[in-house]
Amino acid sequence: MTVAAAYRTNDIQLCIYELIDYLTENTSPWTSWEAVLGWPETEVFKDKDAIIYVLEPIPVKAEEIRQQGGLPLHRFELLFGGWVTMKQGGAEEINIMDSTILNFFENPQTVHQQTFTVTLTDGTEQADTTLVNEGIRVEDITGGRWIDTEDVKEYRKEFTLTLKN
Amino acid sequence: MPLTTDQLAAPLINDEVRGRECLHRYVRSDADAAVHAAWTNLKWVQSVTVSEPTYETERTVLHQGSKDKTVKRYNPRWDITINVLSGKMPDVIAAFRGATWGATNTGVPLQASNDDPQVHIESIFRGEDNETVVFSRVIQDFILDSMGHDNPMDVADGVIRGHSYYPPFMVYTGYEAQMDVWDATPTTVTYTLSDTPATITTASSHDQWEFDNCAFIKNKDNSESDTTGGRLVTGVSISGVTMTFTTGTPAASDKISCLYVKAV
Repeated sequence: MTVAAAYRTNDIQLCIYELIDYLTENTSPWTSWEAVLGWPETEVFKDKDAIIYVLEPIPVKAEEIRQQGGLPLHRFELLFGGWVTMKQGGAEEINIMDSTILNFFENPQTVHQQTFTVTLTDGTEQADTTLVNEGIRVEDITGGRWIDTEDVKEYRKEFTLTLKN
Repeated sequence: MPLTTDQLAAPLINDEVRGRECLHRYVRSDADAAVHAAWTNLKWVQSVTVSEPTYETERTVLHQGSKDKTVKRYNPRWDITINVLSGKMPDVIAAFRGATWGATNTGVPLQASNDDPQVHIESIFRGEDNETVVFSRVIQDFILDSMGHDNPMDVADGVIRGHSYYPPFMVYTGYEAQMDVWDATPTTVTYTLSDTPATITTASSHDQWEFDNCAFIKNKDNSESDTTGGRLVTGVSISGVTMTFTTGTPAASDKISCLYVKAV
């Protein structure tokens, strides 16, 4: 079973979000953080945990054609990032988050074999699935890049995940 | 029936494999007697390339009574190139020769001393999770060639060259290569493999294979200073896990090996 082609923008975002959400609920040091689907609204900063927000994937190259006479694979870039306040650990905490994220997403065995449960856009629940089962390949990750914040006591870094589906 | 206007579905992500997701391992051709002779993972590899075969003899046969002609080819040879990280070239060459490069094995000649096989190499092509095996490729009886050594300004591969006189073969997902080795027991004609060999693709395609099994059996006659072992294609059969010598019962000093493919 893979994400539906017609809903792949939402489904890919959901899969990455649920993957990170599973980690933040089960695996140290991710348990110090909270996963947020989409752009973080201000109320999430009332939570005690720092956040990792997951935005929609952007198709950057829809013609990753690797066969003659057929449809292409698609390549996407998905932005996600960490947002930490001074009370939540400040620069030190976001650097731990940065290293943890890179370490996880750079290792093909950990990132592709980590199980999570996701309910796809069409309502299908995929229990204990993996990115591979959903037809998503993590090609690369870049970042984290520092992103300016309005509040100098907040720290924000953003990553770009290159995916194939 | 396919139509001329058919459009194919998008490929799946495991329909292609990339070098960075491959694992290479080897076992010495003259490994000590053991069930499951131990394979060693080969680090530092950048690519293992098997060229198309060349033939020692190739000729066209014309004969009376027919208008067809046939091309006969004898003694194929596959040239193999292994690219490794440049600093690890001597380690790999020494390992293929059964030694560890170090204080007791300081010199690694770039010259091939003979045409004896050193290792079997299994390259495991995996999916993007670095675990799902898509297929494997087995190079049997790899022989190191004499080789050169590049020393350019920038980062470079160490290029190790070799060849094999036996066909490399592809192995279906869920199967892997294994070698069992025995010191022969005099007058004993049956030996028990540690697993059941898989069957080859086509029953009639058993040139150099033991009948329909994915099995290469060798008998190394140590009493005759035999350094490589003779490959057996007759006088031995395999049924299930039982390997039976019907002729040429191995002698006391012989070492028998069977390289085969079995389910993981």
